[in-house]
Amino acid sequence: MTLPALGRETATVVDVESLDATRAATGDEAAFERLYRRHVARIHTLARRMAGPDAADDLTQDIFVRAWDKLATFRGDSAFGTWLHRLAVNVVLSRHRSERNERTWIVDDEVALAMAARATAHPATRMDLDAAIARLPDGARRVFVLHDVEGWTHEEIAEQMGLVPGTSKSQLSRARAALRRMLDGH
Amino acid sequence: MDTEQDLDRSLAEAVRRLRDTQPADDLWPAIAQQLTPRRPRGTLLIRWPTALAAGLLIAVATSASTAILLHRARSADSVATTTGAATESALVTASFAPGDAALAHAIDDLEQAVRGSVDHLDPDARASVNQSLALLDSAIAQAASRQSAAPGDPGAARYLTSTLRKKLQLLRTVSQLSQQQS
Repeated sequence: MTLPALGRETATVVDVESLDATRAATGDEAAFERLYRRHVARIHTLARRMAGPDAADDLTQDIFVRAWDKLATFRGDSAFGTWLHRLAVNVVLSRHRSERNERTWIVDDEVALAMAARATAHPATRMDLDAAIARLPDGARRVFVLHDVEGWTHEEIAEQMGLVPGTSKSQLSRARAALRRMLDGH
Repeated sequence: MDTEQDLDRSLAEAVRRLRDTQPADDLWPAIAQQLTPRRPRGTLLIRWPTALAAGLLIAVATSASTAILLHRARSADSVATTTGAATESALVTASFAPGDAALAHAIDDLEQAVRGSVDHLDPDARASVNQSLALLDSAIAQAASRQSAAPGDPGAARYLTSTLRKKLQLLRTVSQLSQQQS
């Protein structure tokens, strides 16, 4: 079949990314590489912010390999980027859960938050936000990134992380306070 | 001295200024090495009765929607009564804007890939899928004819979009079936 000339509006609606995702699901690695190129910066940045720079490369590889394996479950109900982002968060959090008991890191965070803020409570140590986020302890960092950077609700975060929403809110509040001190240097 | 609200505002502003960054190294080669190869095209074996059920579901769903689309097209204006053969000819000679041509080729490629799988379905399932594709092609041809006759008509554009979406959904469904069975 030869397709008709498509208006620009039509071309936008018939999602090119969705086509690439469908082609990749049939085994087209070139299509999957295009999806990788389009999304790697966002996924790598998410992994770096949530898990730290040392783990970001490894996590990014894992996320895209899992995306390849799960492409058959992408039904096009949402944008491919949204589906990939949700998968990425799942991979990051499940990696963390397998490494550490959830309750333990929440308790540890109480101390770590205070230390992170105190360690930079001096004008000379003022830093940019990404560097400051990296200094937050694990739990507070993940809640801050998901809520303030990625726009998740406390309910979504709580469900994803196995917490109650109140814990997510208190973690966010403390993360913000620590970040303010780090960014302002006082 | 800054209030807490001022500080929250300045933190929110700092968040807005955050930018995504590329990894220092290209991770694609390592990722490509870990990708599990899909089942090669042409070896799709969908078991009865899954195949028939899926095929019939596709056929019923797309036939019903296509019938509605065709009915709307026929009642919309006289252009929609153009024969399939004539519109097919018009499509062949249609000129593409560069971006649109790339998209059209992508859909064509996908259809070729999926058709390769369809050829290996059992006869009943193959007939159902082919019937659905034929119905949708006919609807798309009529939609294209309408749009050619009235390029500025948003209704015609929407009609074409909806027929293309139906076809895309059908191709995606067949593709997913092949993945689930591989």
